[in-house]
Amino acid sequence: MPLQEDELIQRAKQGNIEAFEELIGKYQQKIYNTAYRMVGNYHDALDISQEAIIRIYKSLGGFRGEAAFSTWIYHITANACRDELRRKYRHFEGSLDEWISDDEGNAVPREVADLSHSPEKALDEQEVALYLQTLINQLNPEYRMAMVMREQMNYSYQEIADILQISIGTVKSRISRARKILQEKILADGEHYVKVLRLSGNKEG
Amino acid sequence: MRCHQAQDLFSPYIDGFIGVRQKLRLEKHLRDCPDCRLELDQLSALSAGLQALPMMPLPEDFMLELRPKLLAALPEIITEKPLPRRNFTKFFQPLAAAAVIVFCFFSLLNDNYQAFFPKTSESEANSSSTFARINVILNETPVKAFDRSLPEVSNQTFYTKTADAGANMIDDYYENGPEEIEPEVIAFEERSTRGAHVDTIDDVLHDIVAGSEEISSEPPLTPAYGQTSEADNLSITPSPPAPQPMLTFWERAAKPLLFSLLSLAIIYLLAQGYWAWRRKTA
Repeated sequence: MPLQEDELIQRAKQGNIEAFEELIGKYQQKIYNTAYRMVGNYHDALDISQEAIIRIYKSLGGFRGEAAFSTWIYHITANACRDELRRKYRHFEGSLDEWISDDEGNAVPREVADLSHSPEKALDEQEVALYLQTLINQLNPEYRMAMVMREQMNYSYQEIADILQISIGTVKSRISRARKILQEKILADGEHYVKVLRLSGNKEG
Repeated sequence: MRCHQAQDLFSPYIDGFIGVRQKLRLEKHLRDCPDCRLELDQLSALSAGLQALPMMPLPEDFMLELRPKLLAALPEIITEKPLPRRNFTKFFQPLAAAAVIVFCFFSLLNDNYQAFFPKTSESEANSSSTFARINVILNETPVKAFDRSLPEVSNQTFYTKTADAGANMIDDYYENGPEEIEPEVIAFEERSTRGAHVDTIDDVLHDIVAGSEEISSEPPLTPAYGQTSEADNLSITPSPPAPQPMLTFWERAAKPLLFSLLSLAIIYLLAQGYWAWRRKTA
């Protein structure tokens, strides 16, 4: 299939929309999901993933095949997410708190994760997914991005550092802190922890 | 290893970005520390849980909604199709133009060096004073600057960088040189000076200045010189220099003015190139 992809890329570069749609078809779900994990709600995720795909389309001329196409498009996706999150939460820039909290220091979910557009999976799985997403949504956007890039996009510390324009040390510490915070919250919440543990055990492999 | 040190390594360990030595130290600590073991297990589970979040399906009309936006972007793509090249050109054109101008400027500078130090009035007052300072350039490094304040200028060989520079030097000599001096012939040859030793040229010049040696028109290092060009043997039989009117202010100022204009043009173009580059990488 790589050969076919190259040809699709060539045609898409010349402005052939059908070729582009076929090309991006393989990747669009992952683009959407990345956006969703980052921004935490359905509507914003749609907007951002569309924005990312349009950016990809516009930048096709600059793609010369030095990297794999998938690498390149996910990079653009990560950048689009980063830009949107930083735009949206610019008031929080520089904040050291991992949680976005209200005046009384209670963690406040900035984005309400909802189940209505989730897949038809076992309720347990849905519930855990929703719960984790809610926790992620409570994270400071900078921590959130580092987490999602690591866990969902499987980026290396270096790649995260490049995209977020921070040092590797900062990446490490943000991921460490974010994990610790999430874990403490899960433990405090009690029963969900068990489900998370069980769920990940089931998915081992 | 203390517990807090071990904890700092949990994430790199989970993510596989830990060095070998640290990994061994951490694992050693974990063998002896059940608390850390537990915490690492919990963090691993969390990480796995996050990775295992189910894929959300795309809304069915996703592409449908996207298409008009792609179409809207299409004219931009087509008109901007040469965009990468255009950016390239836009960035490099000012630089290329600046480079050409810098080149012309330096040729100007080299060839008309003496134009910046007009000595007309001085040479009238003092016939033995310098009317031109000529740098002999070997591979662009000035090896010696010497004064042409010698009464004897015949039978001497001056090496200038180019034929044009030599011709200009001759012209300038006739325009501005001391009136008492009537050289019989100024023979001019263009030779390649590559490979000639700096010392040797220096010696030659020294001898010219001291007037102690009759210099033949043959260059001292025949093997070192390259082929001669058509501009060779440009001999000028002089007529007695007629009284030359002093150059007007504008004639004298023309070249320095040109120099200033070129400098401004260079700065402007470089700035343009710089801003184009900034926009491109922004």
